Amino acid sequence: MSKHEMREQLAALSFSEKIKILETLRDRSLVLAACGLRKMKDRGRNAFAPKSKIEAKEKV
Amino acid sequence: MKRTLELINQMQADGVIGQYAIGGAVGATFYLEPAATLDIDIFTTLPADQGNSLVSLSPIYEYLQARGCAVKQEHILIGGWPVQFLPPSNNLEREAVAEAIDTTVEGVSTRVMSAEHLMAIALHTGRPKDYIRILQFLEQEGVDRTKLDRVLERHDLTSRWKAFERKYLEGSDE
Repeated sequence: MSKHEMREQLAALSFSEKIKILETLRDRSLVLAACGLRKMKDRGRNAFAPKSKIEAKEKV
Repeated sequence: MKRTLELINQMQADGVIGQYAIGGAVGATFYLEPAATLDIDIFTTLPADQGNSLVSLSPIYEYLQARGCAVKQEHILIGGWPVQFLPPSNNLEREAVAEAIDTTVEGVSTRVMSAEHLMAIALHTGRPKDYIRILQFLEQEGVDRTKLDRVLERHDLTSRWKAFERKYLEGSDE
């Protein structure tokens, strides 16, 4: 099935069915927003460095 | 969503809000493929407040908070959905509420703005995500072009529409 056909199929669903999909998408977005990977971004350049290494660097 | 709409309908029956219509991304989902959104935009008229020309959402918040709904920034959580109540701010939005379409969600009655009004409001709002939505409507042929033209003309959006067409449909920025 092409992407266009899939989109048409989704658009043809009933409003109630679409709302259920919206709720799933919303829940997934909320989980992603709360997940650790996004929080790691706050650590900037040290995002993937072990915590012990960062602490050692900070001491220097 | 069922619980959300039941409570909004009850609020309408109790006279806290007037006629309402779902707009925004959830409204667009009535016509298009579902797209991720975190909240529901409810455009609603408010009963006339005698002697006060300022629009106040306090009665809505008081009513819902008394029924256990929590306020979260500009939203109020109803049945798990953050809901934003938006009194129509111009004639286009007033018309969109008045001419909304009756439908149901899981057996609960509700109203959704017409595709043409959703497009006109998106054009008027003019954020990138609004333009994407307009393009989705066009791509899925989910719009009555004659009706859209009339809505755009009534609300002085024809020139903006032409600029949109030039930029996004004809690929010219001139």
